[in-house]
Amino acid sequence: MTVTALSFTASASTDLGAVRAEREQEAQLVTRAAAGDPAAQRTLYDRHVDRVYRLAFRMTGDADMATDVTQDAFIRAFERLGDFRQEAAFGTWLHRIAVTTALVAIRSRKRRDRRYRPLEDADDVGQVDPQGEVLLREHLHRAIDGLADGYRTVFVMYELEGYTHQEIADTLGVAVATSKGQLFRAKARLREALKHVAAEVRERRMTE
Amino acid sequence: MSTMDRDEMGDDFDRLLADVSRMDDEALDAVVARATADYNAPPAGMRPPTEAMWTRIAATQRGAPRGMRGHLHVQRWQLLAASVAFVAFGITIGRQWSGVAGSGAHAVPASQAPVTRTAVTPAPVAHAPSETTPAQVADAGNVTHVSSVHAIPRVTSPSHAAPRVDDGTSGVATASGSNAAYQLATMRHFAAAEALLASYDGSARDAKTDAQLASWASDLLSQTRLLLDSPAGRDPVRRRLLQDLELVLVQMAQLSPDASKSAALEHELIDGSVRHNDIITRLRSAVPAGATTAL
Repeated sequence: MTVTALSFTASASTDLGAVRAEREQEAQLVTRAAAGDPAAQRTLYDRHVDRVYRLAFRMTGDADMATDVTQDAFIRAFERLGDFRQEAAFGTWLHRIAVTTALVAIRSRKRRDRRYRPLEDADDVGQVDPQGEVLLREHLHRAIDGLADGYRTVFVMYELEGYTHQEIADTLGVAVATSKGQLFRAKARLREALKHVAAEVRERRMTE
Repeated sequence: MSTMDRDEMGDDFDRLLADVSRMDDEALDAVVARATADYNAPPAGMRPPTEAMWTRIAATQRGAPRGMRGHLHVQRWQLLAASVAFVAFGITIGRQWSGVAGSGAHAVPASQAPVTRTAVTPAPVAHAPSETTPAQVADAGNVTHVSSVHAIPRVTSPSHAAPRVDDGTSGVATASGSNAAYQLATMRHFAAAEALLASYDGSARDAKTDAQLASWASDLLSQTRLLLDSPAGRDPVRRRLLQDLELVLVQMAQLSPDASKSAALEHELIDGSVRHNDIITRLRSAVPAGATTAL
């Protein structure tokens, strides 16, 4: 075995050891937090709050809602910690709670303010902005809003927040192939939206 | 921004607009990625209100804990069993009904249509590559016992489903028959979904029930997705109902068979989704009165 191979093996086992130690440490934290130890709860909170908040913000697009979702996710998680069997990582379990909480919150908001517009309706280009790229962006953002929950969640997590398909699958409790399929369909719909908006803007410019 | 900059941006954008129709998927994805990168992005430098959130979380932790919901309702088993029997009975009747309807109104006997012997070509299966996904294939592969969905021709529009016949009339008949089949499959599916949701009781939990629910929901989920991708999913109202149903079924299908304790949260979230979307009411509205007996 060469020196390089030896050092690689040593490095890999060190990494694995570090991951295992981190898992064990987190498992202890979860056990303590489940027993009501505020310090352990705070440590878990500090470890995960930034990523959960960021994902909640991406999904809701609203600072207040992101705050509510993050709070609720942690409150629910801490309340149920006694039931968490640590088969998955705490972060994965927490993210699943956060995503579901965010989806419920988004749906409540849609029902409340009726802001929801399906993708098929996103065809009125409105006033042509001299800076067309802004217009294009707005319409694509609206097209994302109009995607079905599953498509939107996977698109946001994968494309915008950099989660892997494996992480998404673990978080949403679906197969990796399902995550890939949802992303594929989401992108296909956004491509269609892009073509649609581009054609409409072009047409309007020609008639002006 | 100077006038010149704005003009340059305008030129770039015009070029982009002109190119979009010629772009391949990869190039389009690149434009989409650029235009959506800031979708719901937190403002630069924004920090989450960590301490404020923690204050509320800690306060909730100090407060009275929510009661755990764990008592089992015995009647629920009976309701569940009755629902399963109802759905099985409905599917059996539905199959027979479809067979009768198919042989009477939709099928053109070969003896009565001599021209079809030579002029009819096999009904083309319309493929939609952009819509076909690995998941879709996987989902379709998972459905092994949903015969009503398998019976649905895989087409993107009824007109494509019609066999090419010289007189042109049996094509129309087949198209309307196809629509009727989708309609029937959707109604039957809604009735089955309603039965599942009506029998679901989020306040009671146990591993066996969760396993059964997950399995049942998983079957219905596959069917829901197939219907979403079929002409049945084109009607906006029905599509939205199918999408809402999909979300609930995903949550129910995730109920772990041996996670009786940790399922409490999932049950709560399912309750929330069902309530928020009035799914049961909408399902009942979608199935015409008396249709369930006909199915």
